[in-house]
Amino acid sequence: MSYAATIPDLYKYGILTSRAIGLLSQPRGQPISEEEKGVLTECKELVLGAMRGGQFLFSPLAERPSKIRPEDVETFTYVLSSDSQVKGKAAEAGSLQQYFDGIARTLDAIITAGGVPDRAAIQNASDFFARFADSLIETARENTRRTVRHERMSRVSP
Amino acid sequence: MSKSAALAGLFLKAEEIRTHADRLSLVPFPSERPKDFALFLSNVCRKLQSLIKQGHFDNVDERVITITTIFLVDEVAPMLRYVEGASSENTPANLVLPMEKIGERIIKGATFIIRRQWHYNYAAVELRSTLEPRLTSLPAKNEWQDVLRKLRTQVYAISFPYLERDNTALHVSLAHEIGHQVAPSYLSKEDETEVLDELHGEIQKMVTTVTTPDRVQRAEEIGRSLTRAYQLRQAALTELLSDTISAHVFGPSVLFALYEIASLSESIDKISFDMHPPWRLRIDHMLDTLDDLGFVNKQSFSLSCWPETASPALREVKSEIDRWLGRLEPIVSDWRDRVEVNKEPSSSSAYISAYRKLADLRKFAAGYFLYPPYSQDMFRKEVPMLLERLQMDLPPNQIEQHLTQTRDVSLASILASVWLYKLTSLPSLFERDPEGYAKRVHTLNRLTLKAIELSEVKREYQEWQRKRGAETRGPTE
Repeated sequence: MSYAATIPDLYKYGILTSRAIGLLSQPRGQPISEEEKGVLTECKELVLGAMRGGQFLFSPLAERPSKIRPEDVETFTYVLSSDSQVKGKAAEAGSLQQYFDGIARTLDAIITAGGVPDRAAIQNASDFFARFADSLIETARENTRRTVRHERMSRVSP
Repeated sequence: MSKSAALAGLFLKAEEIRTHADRLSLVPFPSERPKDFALFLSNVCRKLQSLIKQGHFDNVDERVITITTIFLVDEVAPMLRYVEGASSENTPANLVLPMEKIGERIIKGATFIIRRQWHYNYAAVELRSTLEPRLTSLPAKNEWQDVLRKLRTQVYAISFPYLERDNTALHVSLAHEIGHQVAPSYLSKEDETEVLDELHGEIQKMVTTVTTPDRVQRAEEIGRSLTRAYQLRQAALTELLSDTISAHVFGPSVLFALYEIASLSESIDKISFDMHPPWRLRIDHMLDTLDDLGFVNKQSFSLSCWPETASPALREVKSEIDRWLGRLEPIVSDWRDRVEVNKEPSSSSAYISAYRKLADLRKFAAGYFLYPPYSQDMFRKEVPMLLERLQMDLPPNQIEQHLTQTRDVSLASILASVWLYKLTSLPSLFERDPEGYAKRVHTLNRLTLKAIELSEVKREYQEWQRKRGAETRGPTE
């Protein structure tokens, strides 16, 4: 039996990824606030979590990350199920880790102001978060239409 | 929709929720907790409106406004039902305060809202930890942290099936829901990576290159199954630990209540309510717990906390309860639930792991309490005499020691006496006179609520007297 992929916190990540899109579209070179750094840091952690989840599921035992959280596997599976571009990259060995790593590096460069990432890298990160946020918003819309059978947790399908 | 129209929609939704929250805060409640939470929700909406007016949402991507609006209608507004269902009219009001106190003793510093739901089940959710990560992700994080600070504590909304509002004895199940909040202290001690590795190993045996040859599809399948397995395992351990905690609080009554709810289930072998362990496993685990605590002998399926020197009538009660316990023997000697959970990879791996933890859960629960909330000794000393009061149509709130001297009893004993009465005196009455039976059940429910009320009033009076005495004596005495 196959189960729908879920996400650890629909609204938290829906809000954070949506805010990240706005922040990535701002002209570079302007200082960003501590709160904005916090938003991008949480989004970077989300991407790194997905990366660890992917490593856990694709790598042989010896190459797996030493620390893995259930949320990492859950997030990766959600992204893999809901994002066709990620699924395409997953088919090529190494390509997916490179993709996640590129997004995390772009965010890191903005957070630490350690160099200006190029426009393509920013666009790449922004597109990823836009697809992620749109998927979460779609799921959230479905939630509002759903009849509640009993008290539910914030775990939903894409 | 334009961004401006979307923002106007968000502002209006906040206004609607605030109006309802303010109105609900005026309803009579048996406790202050629901009112406090209504005012908190009102403050959340007021803060959101204020941030919109100050321009905090002017430069965000439009998706932020969309998801925040859906968050309000899908999560925040439905939280008003916790307040609405907690009014005096909607709850067994006399039971609310004693249950809140039990909860606050088990989870230090937490507050509880006890409310009805139409769904036929008991349920629990912690509201602060549900809201906090979402509110603090919105623009103006520091201001949201200020709003949350006013809530101070964790707020647990505990729901009961409204159909059973007056069936007070069944509400011993509320202790199971309170027990849910103990589970994180157990689960947080586990090494998540080790648990995932264990589950992954089992799932990989079932989702293989033969069953799913495509590498990406296999990873997706394993990822979904692993997530589901992890959730099932955590849910199983949480439910079983909560059952154990509730047995420490209310003794054998929780077994009677568990059985009553299980008897309405479609199957005692399947995973119920999407995540709950099979009832067969829960009944078996509950019997083990009650045996550990000295209430029940699982070998002989008999009550082991009944006085030896009781009257013939009370000896007959013991025989009746032993016969009732005997009905559980065929349930727990059968392993069909294990066959059922083995049918698919997620549940199979989850339960292989969970079965190994059963004794550990009971050990953890026993060590969790600084003092035993309820003991077989209290049961033995109090319940038979309270049962005799019920048989004389007196509320089972106290024990007469002399003509002028009475002794207080625990809430657990009050409810246990009601269960024994229900299981031993009522079935034959139904066979003779169904209407008389229904009438008798109503009387029993009223006597129970009256006993709880009298007991609570007396406890509060004694507490007031103690405080007054301490104040009169002054600090030097």
